[in-house]
Amino acid sequence: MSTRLLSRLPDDFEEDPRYRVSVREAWIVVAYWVAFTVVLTAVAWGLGGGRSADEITFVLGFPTWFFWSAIVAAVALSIVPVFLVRGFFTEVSLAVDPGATPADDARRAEPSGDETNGERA
Amino acid sequence: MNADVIIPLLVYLAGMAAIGLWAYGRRRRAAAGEKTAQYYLGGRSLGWVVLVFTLLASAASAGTFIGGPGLGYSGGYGWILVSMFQVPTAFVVFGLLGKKFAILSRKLRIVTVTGFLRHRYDHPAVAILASIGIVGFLLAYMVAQFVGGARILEAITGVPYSVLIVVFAAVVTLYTGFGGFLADAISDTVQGLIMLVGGVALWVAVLSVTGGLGEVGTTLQQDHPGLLLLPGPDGFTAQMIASYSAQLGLLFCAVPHLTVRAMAYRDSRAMHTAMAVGPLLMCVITLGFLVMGPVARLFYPDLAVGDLAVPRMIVDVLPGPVAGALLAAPLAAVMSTVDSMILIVSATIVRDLFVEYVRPTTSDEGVSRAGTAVSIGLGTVVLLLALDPPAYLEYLIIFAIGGLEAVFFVPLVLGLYWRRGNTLGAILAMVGGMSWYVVATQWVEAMAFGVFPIIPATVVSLLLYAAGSVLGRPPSREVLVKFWGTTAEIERLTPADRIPVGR
Repeated sequence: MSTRLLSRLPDDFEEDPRYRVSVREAWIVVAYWVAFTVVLTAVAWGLGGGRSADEITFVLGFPTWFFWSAIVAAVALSIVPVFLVRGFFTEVSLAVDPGATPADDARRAEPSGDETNGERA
Repeated sequence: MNADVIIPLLVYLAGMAAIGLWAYGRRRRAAAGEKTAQYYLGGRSLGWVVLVFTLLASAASAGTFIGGPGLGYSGGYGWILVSMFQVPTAFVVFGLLGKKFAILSRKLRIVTVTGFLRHRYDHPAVAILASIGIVGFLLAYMVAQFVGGARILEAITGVPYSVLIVVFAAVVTLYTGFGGFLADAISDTVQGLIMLVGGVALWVAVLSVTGGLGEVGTTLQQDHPGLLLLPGPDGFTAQMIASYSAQLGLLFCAVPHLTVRAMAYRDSRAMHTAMAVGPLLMCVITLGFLVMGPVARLFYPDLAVGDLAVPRMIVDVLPGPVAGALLAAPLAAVMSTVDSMILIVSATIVRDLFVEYVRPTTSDEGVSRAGTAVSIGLGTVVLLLALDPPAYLEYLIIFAIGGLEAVFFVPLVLGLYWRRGNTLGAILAMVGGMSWYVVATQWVEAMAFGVFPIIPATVVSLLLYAAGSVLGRPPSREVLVKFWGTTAEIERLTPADRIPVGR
C-alpha cells in the first residue's frame, strides 16, 4: 500500500503546454465565484438579516438589502468578467496539434475506416 | 381563447421548425467522418453569440420564467436573491472546464460527458453509472418541464393541455431530431433573444402602468411583510443563501447538457467573449423576470398558484400580440432546455451505450442516423409521459439537477486537473456523492448540516475521490498521456501503456 502511495506517476512524455494556461484560468474562475457568493451573501445578510418587517427600508421600491445585493452588487460583479478575461485569459489554438505540418494533417485526415472508434487509437 | 395571443405563438413555432430544416441541410452536407460531431456538437463551430445564448437558454429553464417569478410571488425577495447565483454560469462553465476540455474533446474525439469519463477512467462501471444518471434524471426533468410549461399556457390561453403538449413535443422533437445540436443552438439563440427583449418589454409596460415601484414596497409592507424579510417564510439564512450559490453557480458546470457546450465553441476568442458578456446577460434576464413576481402582488394580491401570476400579468398589461410574443419566452425556456437534454440523452444512448457495448463497428454515418432515430424516439417517450405524468415524477425531479451535480462534478473537474485521480476514486465519488445526496434530501435531514444537501454530498464525493485515488492503483501511462501529453505523444502510445502503473 505504501509503495502505491509514494509511487511516482510516469512523466516521460512531452506535455501539452496549453493545459497549464487552463489550470491558471480555472483558479481565476473559482476565485471569482467565491467572491460573487461572499459579496452577495454578506451584503444581503448584513443589511437585511434578521430584521423585522417594520425595520425594512426601501430604495426605489425594493427592500434596501435586496437593492444593494441582488441589484447593485450583482450588476457590478457581472461586469467584472469583462476585465478578467481581457487581463488574464490567454488566446490559444484549440487545434489537435497546433504545431502540425501539412504532412501531419494529411496523415491524420486519412480515413481510419472506423471513425467513431478512432478515439481508442 | 385569445387569437391575438395564439398567433404570435404559432409564428414562433413555425420559425423553430424552419431552423430545424436549415440545420438538417447543413448536417447532410457535413464531411464524411464528421457527421457524429456535426449532429451532437454542431461541428464544434459555435461563435460567441450562439455560444452564449445556447448556454444561457439551456441553463435558464422554465424555472427562470415560471417557477422563479412564482416563488418570488409567494416567497418574496429571498428567492430572487438566490436565483441571482446563476449569473456567473457562462463564466464558470466555460472557464472551469476551460480550454483544456475543448482541446481534449477534439484530440480524443469525445462528444459526450460519458465519453470523457470513459477515456479518463477507462472502466465500464464509470461509463454505465454516468449513462444511467444522465438518462434517468434528464428524462424525468424533461417531462417536468413540458408539464409545467403546458399547464401555464393552458391556464392563460385556454388551449387544452393535451393539444399543447402534442404541439410542443412535435416541434421540439422534429427540429432536434433532424437538425441536431446546430438547430438546438440556433433556436436557443432566438429563444434567448426573445427572453431578453421580452424581459425589457415587460418592465417598460409594468412601470408605465404602475408609475414606478415605490408603491410595491409599501403595499407589500402592509399586506405581505414576510416577502420582504431575510430569512423570511422560506428560511433563507446566510448559509442557505450561500449554498444556493454552490448549486446554481459552481456545480452547474457538471450538468451534462451544459457541460457539452464547453466542447462546442469554435476558438478561444469565442469562448472569451461568451465568458465576458454571459454574466451580464444572465443578470438582466434573471432580474427582469423574477422581480415581476413580487410586483405581481399589486395586480393580484392573493393567487393560490403563484406560478400563474406573471403569465397572467403579461396578458393583462401588454397588448395582445406583444403578450403572445412574450409568452413565447417561457415556452422558449422550456423548449431550449428540453431540446438540449434530448440531444444529451440521445448521445448517451447511441454513442456511450449502443456503439460502445453493442455494435462497436457502427459507421459515423450510422451513428448520426441512429442519433436522429433515438432523439425522435425520446421526444415521443417524453410526450407520452407528459400526457399522463406518472406519480413518481415529482419525486425524481427533486433530485434531477442536484443529483447530476453530485454524480458528475468531482470526477469531471478533478479528472481534468488532477493526475492521480483514478478509477476507484471516480466510482466511489459517483456512488457516494449520489447516495449521500438522496439520503440527505429525502430521509435524514441531519446529513445536510443545515445547508443544501448538495454541499455535504459534494464534500463527501471529494473525500471519497481523494481516498480512492491515493489508495487505489494510479492511472495507466496511456491515460496520463491522453490527458496531459501532446498529440504526437498520444500517437506514439503502445498497448503496453494501458497496463496500470504500480503493478
